Amino acid sequence: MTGGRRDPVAITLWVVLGLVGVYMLAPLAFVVVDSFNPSTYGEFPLAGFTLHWYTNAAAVPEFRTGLANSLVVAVGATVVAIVLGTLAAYGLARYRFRGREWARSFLLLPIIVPAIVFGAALFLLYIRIGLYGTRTGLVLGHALLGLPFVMSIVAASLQTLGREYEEAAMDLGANPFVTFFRVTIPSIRPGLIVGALFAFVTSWDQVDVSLFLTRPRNNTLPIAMFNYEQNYQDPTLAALSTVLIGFAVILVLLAVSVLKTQEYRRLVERR
Amino acid sequence: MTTDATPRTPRGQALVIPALLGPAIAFIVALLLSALAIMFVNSAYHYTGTHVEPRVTFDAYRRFFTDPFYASVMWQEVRLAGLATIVCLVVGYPTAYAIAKIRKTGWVIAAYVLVFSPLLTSSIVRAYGWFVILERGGPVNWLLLRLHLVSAPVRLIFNFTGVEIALIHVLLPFTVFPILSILLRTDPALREAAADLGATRVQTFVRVTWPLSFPGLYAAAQLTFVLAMNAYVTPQLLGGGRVQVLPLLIYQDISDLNWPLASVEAIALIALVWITMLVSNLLFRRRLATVGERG
Repeated sequence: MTGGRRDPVAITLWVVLGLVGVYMLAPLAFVVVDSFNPSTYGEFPLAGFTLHWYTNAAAVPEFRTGLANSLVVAVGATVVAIVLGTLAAYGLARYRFRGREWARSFLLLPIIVPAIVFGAALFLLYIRIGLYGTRTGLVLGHALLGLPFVMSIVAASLQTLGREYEEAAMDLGANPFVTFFRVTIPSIRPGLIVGALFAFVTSWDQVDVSLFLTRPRNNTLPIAMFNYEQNYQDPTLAALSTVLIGFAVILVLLAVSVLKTQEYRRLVERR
Repeated sequence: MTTDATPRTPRGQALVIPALLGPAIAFIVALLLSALAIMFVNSAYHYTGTHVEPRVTFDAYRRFFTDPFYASVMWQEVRLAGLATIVCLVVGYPTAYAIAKIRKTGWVIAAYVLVFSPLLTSSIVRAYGWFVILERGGPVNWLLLRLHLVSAPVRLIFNFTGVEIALIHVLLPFTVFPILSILLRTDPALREAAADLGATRVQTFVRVTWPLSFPGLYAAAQLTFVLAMNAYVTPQLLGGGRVQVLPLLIYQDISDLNWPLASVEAIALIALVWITMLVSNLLFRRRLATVGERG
């Protein structure tokens, strides 16, 4: 920060940042601490240390089926969102046509409608067409939520890329398909990976829509956790959450190692 | 960057554009628009007390607008979301400002991790974390008792306070990001010019930085408010049934098979959010327009 060591403005800003940091990390930190808590009712300070809740979490059948279900649904939703989103982004970034702005706004509609409303509406639709309680139904619903993110991120990468390389490939005789798969896709790989991560996390952490679409025996992991928390409230959930926080940390590291794009530099590097 | 380079019109464009955009648009129409249409139709149907009858009676609308319970729920929800938005802005602006001022890359990354990493855990994990911290035997009550600030544990969950504390935590990253984004985009030369012309730091902030960052602040306020209004998990898990908001009623009524009422509540939620946006856009239109001219 600017200013000298005793600069009151700088000191105030550091203090604010420190307090916000504590506030943001506190729930995650206490979940980790609580996962080793021998007391069932989460008494503080800890009277000892136990790994009991980890073995307990691993033994809950709803968490096992939920984990498997969540992985399948998240991967499926990511694939659908990436395919549809990349095609749409390419159309928006590379062609000028009437109604282009209208199409862009329309594709953002899934994030404008509240997830809880979309979930309720989707339930009423699925009840009619027999998709209620199915994995296909979940995949489609989650893919729709990820679509706007993929579309925006991929369109932004396409715009920073420019079309010179594609034109060069075409001039050298490549047809549009070869150009798309051999030139465009490899060049926007970081955007595709970040878009895919967004779509995956959107599905993986989804609660508001999944609530309406799952049957008790066909839950996703967040829904299984949600139900467990409403019924038991012992540190089993803390143990499972700690594992999930570890998983999220790995995802962050992955994203940071991939994000060497201009946007990243703009956010991190200072003049 | 060649954002808007000369548009080329390859042959067969008439077919290419529908092929590229068609699938995504068809997907949204088939899933989202048709679902909303079905919900709209359901809102007019009759609920017998056990199931829905496809008879247009508008009963649910009548009940929603005459029973004062629904007005009180909406008022509670607006208060919850409004307070969360104000706190997020008051805390989020200096946070974004501080992050924008950090020089060392390592510290920048650390600040990002602090502010944005909670987004990578589900709202369930975060709500559970607040439950652990705020419950009777939790660390906050332990500290208050040890410091003799209270004589008995304070009730911090299953009420408005608990929901608000956790909600602000969930929303703060969404407040910080738009503000930070616009602060980083502001040309530092403008601030340097103000300083060269003799402005004090306070004057530079009030006359240059603050007005230039206002659109970011405004976007942050809208985003935070909308997300707060639509929140389901946080009020459910930390409210313990004592804090009622529309998203909770929607889920409850869908479960009770009262689909017409759930549909009306969903429509009311969308309407409430859109009306708030519209009113605030009208109120701040002039302010935002002048910023646009200066910026």
